[in-house]
This record gives sequence, structure tokens and C-alpha cells, in this order.
Amino acid sequence: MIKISPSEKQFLIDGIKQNMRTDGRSRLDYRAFTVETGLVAQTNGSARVKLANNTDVLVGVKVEIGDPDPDFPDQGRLEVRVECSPSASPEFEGRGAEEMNAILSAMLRNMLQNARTVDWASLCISPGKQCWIVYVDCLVLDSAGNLFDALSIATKSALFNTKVPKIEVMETSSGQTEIEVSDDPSDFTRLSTASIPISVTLAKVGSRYIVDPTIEEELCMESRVTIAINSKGNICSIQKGGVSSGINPSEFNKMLQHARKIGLVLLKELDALLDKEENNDTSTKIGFAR
Amino acid sequence: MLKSKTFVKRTKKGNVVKVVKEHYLRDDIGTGVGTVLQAGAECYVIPDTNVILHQITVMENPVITNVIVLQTVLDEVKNQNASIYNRLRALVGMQNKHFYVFSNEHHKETYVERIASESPNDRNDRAIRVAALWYMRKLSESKPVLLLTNDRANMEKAKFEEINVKTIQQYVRNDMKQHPQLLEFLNNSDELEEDAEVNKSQRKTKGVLFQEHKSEAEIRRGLLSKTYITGKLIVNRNNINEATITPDHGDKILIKGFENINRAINGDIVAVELLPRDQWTTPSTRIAQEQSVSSSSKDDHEVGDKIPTGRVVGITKKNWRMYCGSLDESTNDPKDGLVMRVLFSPVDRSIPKIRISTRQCLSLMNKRITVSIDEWKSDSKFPDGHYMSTLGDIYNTDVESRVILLEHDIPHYTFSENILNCLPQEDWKATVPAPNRVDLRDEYVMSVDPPGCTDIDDALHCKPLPNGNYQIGVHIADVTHFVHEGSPLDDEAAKRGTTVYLVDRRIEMLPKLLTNNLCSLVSDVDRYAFSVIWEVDQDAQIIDVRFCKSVIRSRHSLTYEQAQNIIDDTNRDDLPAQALRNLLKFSKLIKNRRREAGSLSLASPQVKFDIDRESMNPTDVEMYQMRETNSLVEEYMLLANVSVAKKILHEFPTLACLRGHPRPAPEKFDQLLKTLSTVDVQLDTTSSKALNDSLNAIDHSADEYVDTLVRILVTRCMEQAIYLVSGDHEPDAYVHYGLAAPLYTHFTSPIRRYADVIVHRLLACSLGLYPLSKRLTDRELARTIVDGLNKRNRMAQYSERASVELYTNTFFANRLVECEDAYVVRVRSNGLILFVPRYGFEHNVKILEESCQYDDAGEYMVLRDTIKIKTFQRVGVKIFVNRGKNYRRRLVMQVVEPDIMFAMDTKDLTANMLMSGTDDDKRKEDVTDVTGDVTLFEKSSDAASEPKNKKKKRTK
Amino acid sequence: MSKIEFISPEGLRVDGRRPQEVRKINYRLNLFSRADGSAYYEQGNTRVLAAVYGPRQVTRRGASKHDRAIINCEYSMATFSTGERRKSAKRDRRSTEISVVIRQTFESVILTHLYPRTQIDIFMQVLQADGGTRCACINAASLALIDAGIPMRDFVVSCAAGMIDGVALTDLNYIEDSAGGPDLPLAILPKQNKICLLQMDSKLTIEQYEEVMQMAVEGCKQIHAVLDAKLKDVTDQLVNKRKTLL
Repeated sequence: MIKISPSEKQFLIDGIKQNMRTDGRSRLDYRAFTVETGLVAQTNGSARVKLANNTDVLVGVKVEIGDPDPDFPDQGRLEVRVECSPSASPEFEGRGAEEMNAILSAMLRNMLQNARTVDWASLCISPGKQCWIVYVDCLVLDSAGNLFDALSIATKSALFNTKVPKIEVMETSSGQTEIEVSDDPSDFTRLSTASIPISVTLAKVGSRYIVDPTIEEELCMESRVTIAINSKGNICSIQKGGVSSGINPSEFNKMLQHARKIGLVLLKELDALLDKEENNDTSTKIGFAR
Repeated sequence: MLKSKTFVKRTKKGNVVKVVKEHYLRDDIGTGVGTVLQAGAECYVIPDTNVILHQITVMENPVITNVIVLQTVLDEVKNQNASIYNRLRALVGMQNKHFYVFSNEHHKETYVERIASESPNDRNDRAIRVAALWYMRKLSESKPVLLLTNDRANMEKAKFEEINVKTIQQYVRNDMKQHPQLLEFLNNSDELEEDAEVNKSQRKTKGVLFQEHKSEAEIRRGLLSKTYITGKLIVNRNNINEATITPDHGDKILIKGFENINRAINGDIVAVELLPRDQWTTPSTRIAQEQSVSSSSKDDHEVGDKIPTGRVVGITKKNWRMYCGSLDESTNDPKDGLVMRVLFSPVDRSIPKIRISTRQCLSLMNKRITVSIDEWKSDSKFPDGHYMSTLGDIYNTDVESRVILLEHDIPHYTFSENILNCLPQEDWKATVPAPNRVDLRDEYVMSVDPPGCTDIDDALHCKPLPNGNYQIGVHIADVTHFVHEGSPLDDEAAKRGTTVYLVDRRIEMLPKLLTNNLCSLVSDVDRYAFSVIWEVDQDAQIIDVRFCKSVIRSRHSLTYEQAQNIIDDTNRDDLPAQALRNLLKFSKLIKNRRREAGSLSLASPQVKFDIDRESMNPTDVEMYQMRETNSLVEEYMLLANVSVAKKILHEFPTLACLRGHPRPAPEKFDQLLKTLSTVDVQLDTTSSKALNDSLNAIDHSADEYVDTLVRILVTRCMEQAIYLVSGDHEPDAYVHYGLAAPLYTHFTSPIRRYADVIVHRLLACSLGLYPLSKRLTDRELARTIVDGLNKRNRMAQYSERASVELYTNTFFANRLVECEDAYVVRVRSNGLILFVPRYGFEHNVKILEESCQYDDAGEYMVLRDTIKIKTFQRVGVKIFVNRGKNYRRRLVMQVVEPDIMFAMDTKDLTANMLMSGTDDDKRKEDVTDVTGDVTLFEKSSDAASEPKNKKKKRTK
Repeated sequence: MSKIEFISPEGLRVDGRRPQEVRKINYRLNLFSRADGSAYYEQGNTRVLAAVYGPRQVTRRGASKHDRAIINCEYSMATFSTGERRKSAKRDRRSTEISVVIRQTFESVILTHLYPRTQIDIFMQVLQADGGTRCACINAASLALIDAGIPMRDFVVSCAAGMIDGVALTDLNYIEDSAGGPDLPLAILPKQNKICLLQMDSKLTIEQYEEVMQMAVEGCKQIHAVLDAKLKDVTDQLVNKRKTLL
């Protein structure tokens, strides 16, 4: 457990007041991030996102054929799961990360489940019988604050990278479906990921708010607002968290505006990075070994 | 080495699971020149996949050397045709062929990655070209590298890339001009038009005769959607235009007419589409004229129920093999030196004639040759094939015996060097004392065998114990001491599965040194044995049994006759006489107990040929004679097998190799019971005991032979006994019905049966004398071996019958039997089935239906209102051999007493055997020792006797 | 008689290696900010992460030892690390067993007596599993411990070997591992030439065992050579950096 001393906390708050954060950023600066996709060969899509050099998440997407949700028989299914590895913090050992995992999984699921984010109907194979299940499995490897934003970026990237194998569905005379998979590995479909949002997290530290808090800043924040923005600039979800004091509505509006602006910039940046990644030859990827 | 490798990942999609495999590329794979390929070779040939698949016989020719087999090609061949793959692998293994496998898929400079939108075939073709180019660069100009392909697109691309490329035809005709014999083997089915020299003029397009086969994808889809049904095609041997498939689930499907069989060959796995219900029909009861290509014959008698009828839409797995046969006898004006297209008639009547091109037509006439099928075009009446080899003159018994071996796929080549290397020295001596071996040399052990027996695999001893009980020991040759698990010798024995006894030869499972010398328990020599030793009381009840590896020294190697004489000689009361008498006494007790438990005594006709040593032609036929001593030895073998079965099943509940004999399905007896009821014979088939009792109760006062006849007929209703791995079956399946034994296995003849070898190892494991190896514990492997053994056994039986038939035919070819006793076994509407006891065979006599009144219920016929013929009636027959078409000699039988010549159907005397189709055919398969265990002759029967009989028969 | 030809008559395995060759190895130290030592290790398609914390205060009260440090290990596999998605990442029997085995291996190697009343954590995460994860984790943990500067008696290197169709093979990949033959994971201390882990759960003859064992030792030595060489490079770089700083 990272702990912070009162004087250190004061130092941080004072810095933010003066628009000078400990890592040199101003209040509304987002940390530089890197994205690498297609690192995990066994997955259908994967992405690793690092904020600065320290928050490090890896998302693997696997698609499998399974039963659709009875409430939505003609749609694919989404399963989201976040797992915090003890490499990010020794408290995550054993069952130590369960609470954290549950919170992050729920947030991420809510953000993605929105009907418009992915064309879920396209993932239906045979209505009521079979559909693609998209498993989004996130692994938090290292944490230096603002995990959720990193996860949202990595998830979008991994889904962007996901290749769903092409299959042919046949109805047999007995009404059962048989599935044939193309043997050509280059035969696949992609998911529509353009409208998947990413989140921007703002934290209120002292009387000011900052964007993309580091882990130390998270320790002194009073409240946190996580806002999901899609490429059209629409707000897709909002989540307010944090320990103390409320936010007054006019300030909240301002935060929203900032989040929207920053989100759009980030999305544009991300799209460019992803396109570049996708055009890179996979064999030149070095991934973790750097 | 490792570090210099770059690596590429290949992704393969199975179901929907992404599988990632590593694929390492190397730089240490050489060209093979100087190691495998000869450095001074004129040319190195790189064939593509189809060239190997179509021209494997050309490749096998000794003049084709220095061939580079690319891994790409090898893998494709393996996926498409396992038997050609094995042949190719065999070529690679031959030192003088200089076939080199170049692992191009793992070479840094020759690996190619599939480009998006490229089909796997195109990718492989490209890989082959890249490898060819690499070779050209590596070997420079001085050593030409030649790519062989008959694929036009590939050839053009290769030419563009300046690769030296030819079709196989160009190569054989031009480059190999000095070896014209190669032309014989050339398969020209995929010849490019511009190369075709013969075909163009000769092959007229006659319009399409057959429907095109559906594509693989269509078949797969059709099978999934259940519009097609798949199964193994079984062609009616008496009517090549009729076939059936029996799907895994569901009823038998009939396929009638050559266009509906649609170029499928016996044994192919085919996809069948059902015809509309109104076109369903019945199996024919008549024989079509030989290979006449008739459409689904409408004139057939259509009696009985119509069954599902279909047509073949595609062949999923071809079962094409090498076929023995001869050129069509009616070939016009055969000449040598000129390419002639002629028809080949296979010996196997379920295989269509095959068209081949040959330059040695005249020399091949009257010869048995082998031919393989290349393809069957939709516009061709016959499949196209090519000549492979000449076996020798037709009717020569040696040649015909080889035909039998080839047709039944019995490995009969001599043992190879590396197998013989596994043998011990010829002067091997048993060392005594040996670890873990009990020294039983002081026991008075004797062996009793047929005269002249050289492979003695069992011996016995018997002595009174101080407590009044007796000790009986069975000693079996310790074959596994010499045949080490997993050695080439062991693999070969497993492959052969059993020793095959033909009338004139014995194809041994193990090399002679073992069978006739080191394993054979000959007298006065120390031999290793595996012993089963019982303690029995006065009533022959088993008090105790133990097993041990031992050293024995047999005192006498007796014949059955000698043993019998010793027993009968009242003047003798020495050790051997006492032992033999005790053994006999106990064997009778044991046998009676077995009888009471319901062990069947059945019968099957067995004859023995006296063979003229010079001509190898049979000079006389006699029935096989049984003595008490035969049954004595047999009884202890049975007992040993049962004891061992119990032991190994107890120790290895899932791994034991057992021999089960399923109870026959009740409906199997239906026809027999009906026939018997017409002559007032009742059989109770509810259990083996009931059956045996009712057999014994048969009143044969009128004619003694009736009893034997009934037993022969019952034998045919039996199921085949099979080997099984205990873990794969419910305990119910372990039962041996014929012997009425809950457990049975084969332990007593390891010299000539591989199952016994496995059982020996298992028993040794259970005694802690042998490690429980990986191979023994691998159930998957055990299952494969056991399935193989069952198949081999079946094939051995078929070939033994075929051999007897061959010798019967040869025997009668040289003589005419004017009047011989025969019994009517069954009366049918259009003929009689007769059994000739003296020669032990059965035959059909066709009767013109219009000249007799047939009573279906009573199964008798009346001729001229006066002559009544019914089941079990004795008649006199004339027997001779008629030359059928295409060198098929046929035995012909005519009833001369009573004289019913007027009613006999003589018109097909020159052509065909007779009688009804499938039913008859099936019975033929079942004719003799159905179970392989329940053999049987006279009233004695049972398992171990079968081999004994056989040995006697052959080794004389 | 198995359908797959695990070793071709040309002497190449399914992936193109020869029997005595280990897969391509690569690794990196010091990936994470929070851990005291960390390593990423790949052996072919088997890829693992290891993070080391400590020596630090003992977390579980009462577990502390007055004369040495305690070692705590956790092995887990990412849900996406295998061909078919795993339902749970942690806490199945196999993971627990491997955790224990690895802990025991390192208890004998780390100079624990130097840090009484402390705890050293080794966390291993499998990202991709393609056979030999147990051995890869030991190698990764070994590297992470080095990165954390924890004193050890020797480098620990590990490699498995097996036997298929009578041929001994080193460093089995997943397909080879699934062939059902014997699998013998081995960890050695290469300089001291001592065995610190050896497991085998199949029946083998003594001769076969010796052959497989020899293969495993051979594999360990190859891996040690690769790890050692790169480690020296990395250390050199660190020294050079330090020099430039000074």
C-alpha cells in the first residue's frame, strides 16, 4: 500500500493550485501514452497501453461461440473482466484484488454494454441458438494512477485489433446449425469499433480539478469524475466517485466540457496510433522484450 | 545454430480456437548432395505432389534415382494418401535409390509464407518452385535440377522463373529414353494434351457415362445436412453391378447399376444420395453376366422387400490398391513392342476390369500380373490403370498362391536385414541358472505334436504329489525372451500378426531361427519356457495355479500317434506312460466339465491334400484324422489360456488382451432352424449348453453323417471370435460363447500368434518379471494392435480358404469324379446346395425352375412328379473343373443319382458358378471355422485344436 | 502409430527444431515501477512475467521467521493465455502446486538467512502458454530476483525434457507436451552443478530416464548460456550508464 505523508500531500495540493504538478504537467495535461496491439498471439485481439511509463495494462480479446443472452437472442455477448496482477502492487496477491477487480470490471462493462458501442447484432450467428461471445480480459500489470482511463483506451484498442474468424453457418435438416470455419487465416471480419468511447478521468484535489491523476494525486483527491466520450463528442457514461465532498453543478459542467475536449483529442491521437500499429508488420513487434 | 535462426509464427484456425504454432527456420539443412544424393548424378529430379501421387510406381523403378523429395510434397502426400506416403517413405529409406528429403519448410531460404488470397495449393506450388530455384542456385549450372509437374499453371510459372521443368511424360519419354520399360508404369491420366501421343487418337469421347462426382465441400455439406449418407462400399462378388453400403447408423443401402455405383470401387468410402422411394428396389437374386455393363436391370426378379436404394455422388476415400489378375482372355491379336490398350481382369470379382496400356501385350498373355488403378474418367466405361509387375504363369500353383497372398494383403516378403539383426546368435544356448527363472529341468516334460512338427511351442508334464494330488505343467516357448518389445523384430511380428498356413506353404510370423530352433521346445535341449503349473486333485479340480518363467528340458518329442501308442500299450508302465495316462484321464474329466458348462462341439469340413513334391500339384485328398491325444493336448492348452486370462485380467483390468466370442444373434439361426424343421430336427438355441444338448440328441440312426452336417451348419451361424482389450469393453463382451468360458485368451502359441506375445508380456509384468512399459499401458496403441490382429486373422482365414479352394480346383482339374456321395444341405427354388464329405466342400447345383415343383415351406422339390429331393438327402454327383472366362477355373457338380440331368441348368456351365447372390456370397465367407477357435471336427472341438489341426495338415 | 509425426525421419520436430534444441529465448529486466525487481521472459511462444517484492515486512502475522526471510510465491495464468479461454486465472490446484514447487525451489537458493524476519514475494504471471510454463516461470523468477538484487547461491535455470516415440526431446512445446509422453521438468544450479527441482510422473525405464534427464540438463545449460550472456550485456550497460553519470 502506497502511503503519503501529510507534508507530501500538502506539497502536491499546493503545486496543483499553482498549476504545476509533481511530474511537470499542468492541471489539464494528459500523460503521453503508448499503444501496442497484437502482442498476445493466442488472442483474437490484444493491446497494451502505458500511461507515461508506469501505468501498464494489457487487454486480450478472445471470441468464442456460445449461447446468446436469452434477453437478447439476436445479439452477441460481451464478457468483461479486469484482473489486477500483483506485479502492480503486492496487495493484489491472492484475493487481495477482488474488490478492485469487481469495481473496474463493472465500470468497463457499463461503458461498453451500451447498445451503440459495438454492432452486437452482427455477432449473432443463429438467433437464440448461437452467437459470438466476446471476452475482454484485462490485466493490470503496473499502476501509477488513472487505471480506468488506461483500461478504456486499451480495451478500445484491443477490440479494434480483434479479428473474428469467418464462419459459414449451415442449417441441417434436423434444424441444427453446423458451423464451418474458414481455413484461411487471413479470412476474418473486424468489429465496428469507431463508436466505442474512451474515458477521461478528472480528479478534484483541494479546490482544483486535474485530469489524469497519478497514483499520488489519487491519494489526495477528494472526488473523481470519469466521463466516457465517443468520437462524435457525445458523453456515453459518467461516474462520480471519491471519498469526500460533493461537486457543485456549475463546476461539474466545466469539468464535463474539459473532459469532452480532452477526450476528442485523445481519440484522434489513438486512432492515428492504432492505424499505424495495424499497418506495422507483426513480425517486427517486440512487445514486452522491447 | 539456434541463435542464427529467425522464426515465423504460423496461425492455424481449428474450430474457433486460435492455435499458434512456432515454426523455426534453419540454416543447417544441406542439399543432400554427396550424402544421400550422388555427387556425380546427371540430374536431380524434384517431383511435385501430384507426380508422386500418380506416378509412385515410376518412382519405385530402380532406374529412377537421385530424387529430391520436398517436405511440402511429403506432407501433402501424407495428407492425401497414407499408402503412397508409406511407399514414398520406403523409397527414401532405400540406400540405392538416393531419395533425399529436403525439409524446405524449415529452411530459412526456402520457406514461403502464404500470401493473403493465395490458395493453399498455390502456396505449396510456390514453395516447390522456390525450393527448386534454391537448388539451382546452390548446385550451379553443372548439376541440372529438374522440376517435374503436370500442372500447367505451375509449369508456366516455373518456366517464367527459369526453372528447368518438365512433365513426367516428357521426362520418361525423352530423358529416360534408355529405359523404355518405364513407359509401362507411366500413368498418363493427367497428361497435358500436347504430350499425349497415344491417348489422343485412341480415346474417343463417347459422351459422359457417369455423373461427375460432387466436390469435397459439397459432400461435406451434404453429409452434415444428412442429404448424403456415407459408408464403405461393398460390391456383390457375384454381381459387380450391385453394391451396398452400411452406414454407422441406419439401414443398409442398395446401389444398383454401374452408373449408380458411379466409378466407386469395392472398399471405397463413398457418399450416397438416396433415390426417391418409388425407385427403391430389392437385391438381385441372380447373377449378371460377367462384367456386362448393364443398366439397373429391370428384368431382375424382384422378390422380397424393397430396401433403400441410392446412388454414389462422390468418393471420400479411395481404397485403390494393387490388383492381381490377367489380361482379358479375349484380347485380340496381342503383340509386343506396340503400345496396345487392353483390358485387365482382376482375380477379385468385386473389382471392375481395368484398362491399361502396354508394349508387351503378347508376353503378358497367360500371365498373372499386377496392375494399379490411376483414375476413372466420367466418359470411360473402365478405369484406367497401369501395369506394375508380372507374377508368373496362370494356373501355376506357386504363382496362384502368391496371388492369394497379395490379394489378402499378407506380408510375405523375407525378413529384412535390420529384423534379422535382432536375432540372437545361431549357437545361442540357454544359460542355467538364469535370473528369475525356475529350473524345471528335472521334471519329466514331453511334447506331443503332429508328425514332422518343427515349431514346438508347447510341452507338458504331470506327476503325482506326496499329498495325493497331481501336478500338471504346461510349458510354452518363451518367445518374448527373444522378441524384445519395440524392436524391429517385434514391430514386424505385430504387423504380420499371425503365421499363415496355405496348403503348400507357411508364411511365418517370426524368422525361422526362432520358430524352428531357439524357441522350439525340442527334446534333450535346455530351453526357456513360460510355465503354467496347476495342482489338481483326483477329480481334476484345480487346487492351485502358478505361473513362472522356467528352463525345461523335454524328454521326448512325440507325435500324436506315438503318444497314443504309449498309452494303449498295456505292457508299458514307465514314467512317460504313467504321465500320459494321467494326463489323458484328467483331460477327459476337464473336458466333461467343459461340456457340461455348455462348450460347443461343432464341426467344419477339413481336408488334407497330398501334394506331389515336384509339380506341387495335389494328388489326393483325405480327411483329417483325430486321436484321443489331440484332444488331450488341446484340453490343457485351453486350460492354460483360461488360467492366464484370469490372471492378466485380474492384474490389468483395463489392459488385458482377451479373446471374446460373442453369442450369435438369435436371428442368425432362423434360416437353419427352418431348414432343419423340414427334416424333424429340433435345435434349442437359447444357450450354448442347450444348443449342445440338442445337437447331441439328434437322431442320426438313418444316416450317421447327418450329425456332422448339422454341426457344420451350426458352425456357420456363429460369430467370429475376436481379440479385444478389456478396458474397451463391458465384461459381458469377454465371454467366449463357443467354449462357454467367461474368460479366454491366447497364450499357448506365441511362435505363431502375436496376441500370445502380448499376453506373455502382460503375464510377465503381472509376475514382476518385466517392466510395465509405455507400449503395454498405451490403450490407444493396444487397440490399434488388436484391431490389426483381428484383421490379419480374418485375412489369414480367407487366404487359407482360398488356398484350399485353389488346390481343390487344381485337384479336380486333373481328374473327373464320376460319382461321389453328397448331401443336400439346402433346397432352393432354383437349385440345391450340396456338401461333399469326402472332399469337404460345398457346392451349388442349379435346377431349372420350370422343371420342378418347389415347396417353400417344406424346402423340398419334386422333379417329374416322382423324384423328390429334400434336405439331408444323399445324392451322387459328378465333379469336374470347367474353364471359366478369364482364367477363372470353376468347379462344376452335376447330380447323377438320382438322374436328374434333364432338369439341370447347363447353359451357364461354361460361365458361372451359380445360385443366389448376396446370401450365398455371405455364406461362403462364413464357411469354415467361423470362430477360429471353435474348430472342429467330428465331435471334438475347441480352441487350441484348430492350430493343432492346421499344423498337422501342413507340416506333413 | 500416433497420427502426428512428432519427429520426422529427417530429425526435425514439429516446429523445426532438433531434439536437443531449446526454443528461442528472450527476456527483459525491470519492467515495472512498483516492484523491486521484475522480468519478462519468453521461451518460444511461452511468455511470462515475474515481479519480486522485498525483502519487506512480513504481511501475515506469525509467519515471520526469526532467522531467515520467508518466500512467498504466486503463479497465475492470464485467462487469455491458452488456446481456449480459461475460466479463472488463479487458485486452481495446478497453480497452487506450481506456486509451492517454485517456492521450494527458491527457498533453497536465496540466501534467506541474510534477511531474518522479512518476506520476499515472487509473483509470476503467464501471458502465453505453449508448454513448459513451470520452467519458464522459474527462469523469469530467477531473473526478477537478480533484478531485485536479492542474493542467491547461484543462477537457477530450468528446462523440461520428455520422450516421444522413443526419442528424448528437450523443451517440449504444447503439442509435444500433449502427446502424453513423460515430462520431466528440471531446475539446476549451473555453476554448482546441482539439481534443485526434479519432477517426473510417468513410468520410464532407467535407461530412458537417463536419456531424458541428460536432455533436460542439456536444455538447462543452453538456457543458462543465453541468460548469462544477455545479463552480462545488461550489466555492462548499467555500468556504462553509471560512468556517464559520474
